[in-house]
Amino acid sequence: MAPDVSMLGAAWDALVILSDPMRLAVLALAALLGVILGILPGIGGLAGTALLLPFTFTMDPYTAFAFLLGLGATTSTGDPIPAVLFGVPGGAGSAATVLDGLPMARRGEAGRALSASYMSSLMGGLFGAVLMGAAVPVLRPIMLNVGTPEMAALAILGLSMVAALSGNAPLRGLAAACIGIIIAMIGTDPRTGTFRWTFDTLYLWDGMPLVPITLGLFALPELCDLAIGRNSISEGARYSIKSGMWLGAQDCFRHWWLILRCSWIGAALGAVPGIGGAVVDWMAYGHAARTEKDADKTFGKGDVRGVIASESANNAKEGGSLLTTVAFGIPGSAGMAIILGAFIAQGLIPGPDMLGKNLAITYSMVWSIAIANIIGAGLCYLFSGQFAKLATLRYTLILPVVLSIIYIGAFGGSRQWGDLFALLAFGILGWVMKRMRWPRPPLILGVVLGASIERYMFISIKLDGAGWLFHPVVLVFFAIAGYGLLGPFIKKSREKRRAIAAGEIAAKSAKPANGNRFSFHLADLFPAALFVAIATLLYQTLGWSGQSALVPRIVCIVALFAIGASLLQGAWGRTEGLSFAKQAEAEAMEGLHMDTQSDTDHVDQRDILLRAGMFFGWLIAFMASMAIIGLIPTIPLFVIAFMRVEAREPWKIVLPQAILLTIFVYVVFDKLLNLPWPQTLMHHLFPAFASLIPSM
Amino acid sequence: MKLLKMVRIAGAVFGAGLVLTGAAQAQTVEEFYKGKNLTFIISAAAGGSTDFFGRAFAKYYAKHIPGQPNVIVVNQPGAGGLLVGTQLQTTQPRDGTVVALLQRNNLYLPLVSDENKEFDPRKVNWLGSLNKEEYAITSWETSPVKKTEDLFTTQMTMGATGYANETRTIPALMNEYLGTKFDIVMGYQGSEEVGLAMERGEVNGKAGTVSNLATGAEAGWVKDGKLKVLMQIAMQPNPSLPEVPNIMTYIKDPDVKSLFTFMVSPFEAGRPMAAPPEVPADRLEALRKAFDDAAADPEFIADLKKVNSTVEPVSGVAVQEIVENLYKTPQPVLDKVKALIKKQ
Repeated sequence: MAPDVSMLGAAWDALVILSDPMRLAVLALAALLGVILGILPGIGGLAGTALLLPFTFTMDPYTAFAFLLGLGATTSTGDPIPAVLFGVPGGAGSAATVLDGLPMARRGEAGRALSASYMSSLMGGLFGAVLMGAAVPVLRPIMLNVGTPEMAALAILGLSMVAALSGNAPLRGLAAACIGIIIAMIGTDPRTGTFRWTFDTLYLWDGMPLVPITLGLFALPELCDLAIGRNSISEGARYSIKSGMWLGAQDCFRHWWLILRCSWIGAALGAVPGIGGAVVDWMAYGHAARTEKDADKTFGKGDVRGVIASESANNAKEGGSLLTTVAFGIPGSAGMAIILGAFIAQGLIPGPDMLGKNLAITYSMVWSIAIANIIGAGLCYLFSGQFAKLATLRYTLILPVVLSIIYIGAFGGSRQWGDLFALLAFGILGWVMKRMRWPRPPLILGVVLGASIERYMFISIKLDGAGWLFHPVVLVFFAIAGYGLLGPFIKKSREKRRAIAAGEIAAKSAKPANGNRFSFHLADLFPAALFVAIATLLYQTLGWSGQSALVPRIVCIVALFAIGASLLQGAWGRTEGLSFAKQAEAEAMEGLHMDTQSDTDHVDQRDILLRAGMFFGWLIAFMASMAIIGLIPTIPLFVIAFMRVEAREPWKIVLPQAILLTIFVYVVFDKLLNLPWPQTLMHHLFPAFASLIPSM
Repeated sequence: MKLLKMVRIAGAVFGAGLVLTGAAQAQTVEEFYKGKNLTFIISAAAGGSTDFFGRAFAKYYAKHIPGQPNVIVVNQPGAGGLLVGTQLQTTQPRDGTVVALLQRNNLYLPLVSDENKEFDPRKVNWLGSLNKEEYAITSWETSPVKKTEDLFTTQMTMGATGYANETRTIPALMNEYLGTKFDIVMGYQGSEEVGLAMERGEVNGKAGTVSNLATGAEAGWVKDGKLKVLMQIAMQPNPSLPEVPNIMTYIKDPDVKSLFTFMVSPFEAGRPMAAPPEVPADRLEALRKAFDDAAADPEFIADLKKVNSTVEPVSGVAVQEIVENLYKTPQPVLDKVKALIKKQ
């Protein structure tokens, strides 16, 4: 077994090289930066790695990759912190953590949830690294036998998770997934050059960037509800910090088998270009919701297993996505595309050499990810006590800071004004969906997987006609997808039949209260508006070439059908005399609802709408100010205005907060990251004066 | 409107005051750049080769500008470089404090595309280009096409990325006007994915850059005889491929020749750099000279050598000339190119 000996030898050499104190120090620094950037919503591995990349040009390859991967690997350890504490995912990969993490924080179990996410991050990260280390020798042969048709099938399998993530609202889930795919279709179609739904704007040429979509869809609605509730997230802590931490770690050891499975999902999907990265958390969450005992009763209501599933997959994906990068030069995720820059700078070529004569470098990457995960989790545990307290702060202290960072994070998507409009639009969409109990996860799945499925599918058809459907691996993936889609129905109907046989429930369900009379309700406005919007988009596909229009048209028609059916179902079978929020709740009472629930029962409906209007008004004011005087001057203005107007916070809190945040943003985003700020009105009017002020 | 006017006047007075305190009259180029920031925009995301070469060049570039401004590198991807091109042309300051590394297709796509009417490559000031590019038709060892002559008789599948990308337009052009028999599969993401598709036998070959053949993963394949180079597509054949025939020798019809010239001549400006319009003449001259000097800087060349790369500088005047010649292309030829890249 000569190859194994050389493999272990290379792994050992790599560890020795990496244990040089200087390199370890660099790795630790990167891990620290990673955790910090991970905590900031929307600003994660991508921005951080891009920031560090130029510094690595002069380093040796071991140090360079340790620096970059150390940062990339630990951002996903920091990500769950804002997800648990404010319901704002730190990165796209921990959106699913919010579903159970936030309810836990509301119960006063923030410490436990945080600890569970650190420990599962650590275990997931290590498992991902081990899997990668073990897969190195067999990786190329496997990948050379997996063709585009198999990729297409895998993407479709991923999309079938929509069923699990729609909970008790399958029609709405289907509609949301279709809307996601429609969003994914925006941009230049690579096969025909058709510009699909670009509305004559350069911004949409490259398609919608994911960051503003995720932040809008998942972060803004939670913040809006925080502003509506006018409370802190949690009133107090249920456990002492120490015992909370201990409980969370224990949870992870108890559910080690779940962690193992979810890490597997994370690492494997992370390796698939265009699929993994942004949705592994949802895949793992959907898997856990399907397979864990009694998950349909407790998931989404603060079940620690939901946090564990999402976070272990989120950290394991890094190892997986490194694989294809190293072996083929095909980045598994956006962050890995930046790592490729380091390959160029080091004069290294991804491919067989990395698994042959440069094997030690490859193994040093695996070690870097493993060690960074340990350091990252250690750092998080060290400071966690302080973090957990954040959930008890007043909303007026939290909101201005988090909102400012979210704006900058969204702007990082493609560094254009369009990002901010997208953030606002998806924020409103997300909030309405949340209130109306339309599941949001299927939408993001559609966005991420839609384009890959279309791309892989057309290549497969071009290569092999319909024959690709009958490749053995494709058939296996389809079988798994079919089981995932149909399994629950079969199980449910079998249970029901058994219950009827036992005489537990009547065979016919009771009639709805209004006796099947048709009634239109305020809550129907949202699906009606969606229906009109999608019909308009469908109309716009006229004039596109056949190949370009095929998938968009199918998806639009399915969406119209799903929305229409859901609308009719609602209009025919609802109970009269409830507010729209209660109405939605009544409709979704049965079974598992796959989304967070609003914590605003103490506010009446008029105030909800009023305060939501105010919240989005603040956002619009922020953007207007940014257009006039630039982003950096807007930040102190916004912080002061928000804190004084919303709650008359004392100046001695307001001023330091405004000043510190402004300095932080200036140093990190203007000085270090060199964000190209958009041009302002002030600059247009007084160029000489404006050039003195950063971002103006 | 009155208020706006007053504000404008006040601003102008204020601005003039600032300028005067800086003693603006008869300011030399060196005085202008001393202590100033030079924004160096890279029209691609961090991590790619455009980003790497841009960053590697930026620090030497600033060194060779009189007054040695402080260089700030900014990444602004979008629409394949057209976003930055449009910004240069319309909104970026025209005092010489902003330069940008654009992309090759920016030179000719606006001329033949119906979608982007804003960017006009004749309106910006070209500073130079860091390398020349050539394309080559390559064929994997299992391909039915073994030698150059087979191209005209035997079908082979070609992996390609986007519709308007050279990986498709070149084989499509050859099919149309030279009678080759390529079956083009589009939709792969980047040349590495096409490479993987060749390795696993999904496609038989591809049209790719010669620089990739020399330094990328393909270099090893060529050495091992797994990948054959059948034809090069260049204005001047690449000296490293003396055995490989150049496409231009196959073209007899002058119309077809000018069609291929339109598509191939932008390769000569592989990594073009530009400044906004109306940059003061003395500063523009300094920016162009700094480009030539920095591209010839031995340390810069040594830096690139470390990563197995070379620099083949083209002067700003030469790039400007390429653009002007492109715009002299007769309309019937442009219409043919348009038909080729127009959406299906």
